[in-house]
Amino acid sequence: MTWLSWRQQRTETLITAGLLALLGVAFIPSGIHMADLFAQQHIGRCVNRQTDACSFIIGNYANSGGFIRSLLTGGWLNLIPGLIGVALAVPLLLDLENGTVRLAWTQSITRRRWIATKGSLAIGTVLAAGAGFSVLFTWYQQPFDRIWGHWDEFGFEGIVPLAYMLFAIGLALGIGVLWRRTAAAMVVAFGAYVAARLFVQNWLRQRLVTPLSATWGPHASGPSISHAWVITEGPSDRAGHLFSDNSNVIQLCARASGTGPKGGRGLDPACMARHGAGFTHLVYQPASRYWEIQSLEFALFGGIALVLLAFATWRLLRAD
Amino acid sequence: MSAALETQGLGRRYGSQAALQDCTLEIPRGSVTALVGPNGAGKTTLLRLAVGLTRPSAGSVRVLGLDPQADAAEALPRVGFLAQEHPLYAGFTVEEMLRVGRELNPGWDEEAARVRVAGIGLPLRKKVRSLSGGQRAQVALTLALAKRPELLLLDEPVASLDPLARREFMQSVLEAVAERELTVVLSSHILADLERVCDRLVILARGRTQLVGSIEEIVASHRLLTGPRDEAENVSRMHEVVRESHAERQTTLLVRANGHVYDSHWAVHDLDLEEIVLANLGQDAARRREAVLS
Amino acid sequence: MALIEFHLDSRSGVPTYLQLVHQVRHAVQLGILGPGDQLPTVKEVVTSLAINPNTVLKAYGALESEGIAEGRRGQGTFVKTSAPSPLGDDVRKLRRSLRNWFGQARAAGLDEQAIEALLSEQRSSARQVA
Repeated sequence: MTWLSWRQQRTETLITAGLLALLGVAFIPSGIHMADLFAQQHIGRCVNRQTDACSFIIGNYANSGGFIRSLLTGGWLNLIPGLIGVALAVPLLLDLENGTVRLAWTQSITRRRWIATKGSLAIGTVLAAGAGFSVLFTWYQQPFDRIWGHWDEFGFEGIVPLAYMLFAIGLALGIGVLWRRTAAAMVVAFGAYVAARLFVQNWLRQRLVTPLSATWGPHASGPSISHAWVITEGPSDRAGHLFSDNSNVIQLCARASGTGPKGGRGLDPACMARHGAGFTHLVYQPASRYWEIQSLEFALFGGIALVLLAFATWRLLRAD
Repeated sequence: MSAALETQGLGRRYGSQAALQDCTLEIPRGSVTALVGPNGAGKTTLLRLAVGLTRPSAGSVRVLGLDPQADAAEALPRVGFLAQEHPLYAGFTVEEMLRVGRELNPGWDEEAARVRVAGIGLPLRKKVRSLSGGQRAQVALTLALAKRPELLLLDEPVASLDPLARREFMQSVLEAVAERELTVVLSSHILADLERVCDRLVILARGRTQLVGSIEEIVASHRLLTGPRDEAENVSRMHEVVRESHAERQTTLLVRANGHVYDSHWAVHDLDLEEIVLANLGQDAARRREAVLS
Repeated sequence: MALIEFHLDSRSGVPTYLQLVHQVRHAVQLGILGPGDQLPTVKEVVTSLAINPNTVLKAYGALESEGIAEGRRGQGTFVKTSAPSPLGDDVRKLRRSLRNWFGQARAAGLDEQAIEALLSEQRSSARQVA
């Protein structure tokens, strides 16, 4: 049964390995290069230092990442866990669509054992791919994470990539056992994966744990945001209400050119203070919460995946 | 010893449609039974119930004394099944298909499988998708036979095959029956050659059993009688009339005779199996028409 | 290799097993098969004719009860006698009366078809219903 499961998912396993190999070929040399550069240029000394010189050095360093780095920051690689998860569901879905399950279920092994063996292999492959994916990018990101913290490429590091892949295969199997048309199920599952990822990334993630906030006046300094995830930051009144860009105060106090001492929009601080807008309000997740949020997102995607997989298993056991 | 296949009031519904209903039959070991009936009669449903691919909506089914779903681990190694489309993995070679059989069946006889495949002249390295229909059927049959089952269920095994492939396929099946005590149930909507190959018959129509018995008995008990029209009543009182047709002066009756038919006014003829099956199926169709019209 | 080969006439109306019985008897009468000769194995017959093995077993069983053949466990079925069957005398008498009857039928003016109709009518109604 193990041989059969491997043989049936041979193509998809090769595609997955190929994809990961391709990523490796692209990112490993670049990663080594960036790590070397980090050491040579002593970037470490500039971490957490707000001087102009350091800003310049760090900016330069980031640009040295070139095309490869932009592949990562561009976000399209987020689709890969979805592709891999959906692909590894295909052998089982084709079996159902073609009716070849009737061959497997009338040999000498029970349906339960068939599902267990084939399912574990597919899921095991998915988890291994997820682990490989995470290891590759977590490693690649090390120098950048030392500068800015782990939040920027959240979906590529830690444990969440495994949950994403599990989620994708769960979607494909859950939809496919109901709707016995493999190609259509794959498309719908992938679409749902993308929608869910976007939703979580842009809206839900910051609400998984209530973020911290702080408001402080012009002569104070806010909390340390070293390696923190800044959700919003901007001029506010004493109570912490932010001023939007087209509010009267901002329009009034905008300077014609350059950036002010507080950076950003070029606002005249004296003008702002006169209008009661001399404060800064910050909403953020501190670095210390990184693993908490990783775990919550992992549990979210992983939990839904388990429900979908349990459903698919139940339907298969009852299928006739 | 338990029957090879036994059903008690067996039924299966799909939504509001009854694919099979009220099916009670017993198929003894060592027989080759034909399951005949028009398309949609419930033949495939009955076979799927027997092998545990489907569960009953009503009644029960037992194979070799076991419940095909509850006792699947025990029953599956002893029951061979060949689905209508001869399902095989299209991208696998013949050799890999044999490996599938070996991996999934502890009772697999690799040598017998190889001998069979060589005897038919199937190239081991060829992919399944490039085999002819007859060759595919033979590979599928090898998978069903090489695990040495006691009961073999074949769903329309030769429907898609040309006459030569058909003959070769049945030869293989019957050889296996000759070699060891193998019970075979095969469904077919083709009636020719049945008498040659099978010794028992089950007629299904619209999900119900019409006739069950040994072919010898069935052929012996059906007669075609021709005689005077006005005496038709006498005969129909004594024997069950399966089909009747009247000319102005003469009546032809196809009866399931209840005892010896002896009447000097009536000519008695034998019938072959095909005619008997068609008459029984026609009887059902006629009854259905009447029910619709009345 | 088998000593003799069977053939089937599926249109003849004669049951398969009887055709096999007749062909064995015929072979014995012609001297093609003698005492100790082995009849084709069930498997050989099934392979060449694609018929139900039970039919072959039935034919061989009938031959055994007529005393023409005997089955030996684990070895096969073998011809027992070279003499005409014990029913030889009856067969000779029946053959003679049939010859006479045919002569009478033709003298009465019956043609082939009329004779055939008469024969099948009497054959059917003479047969017992099970």
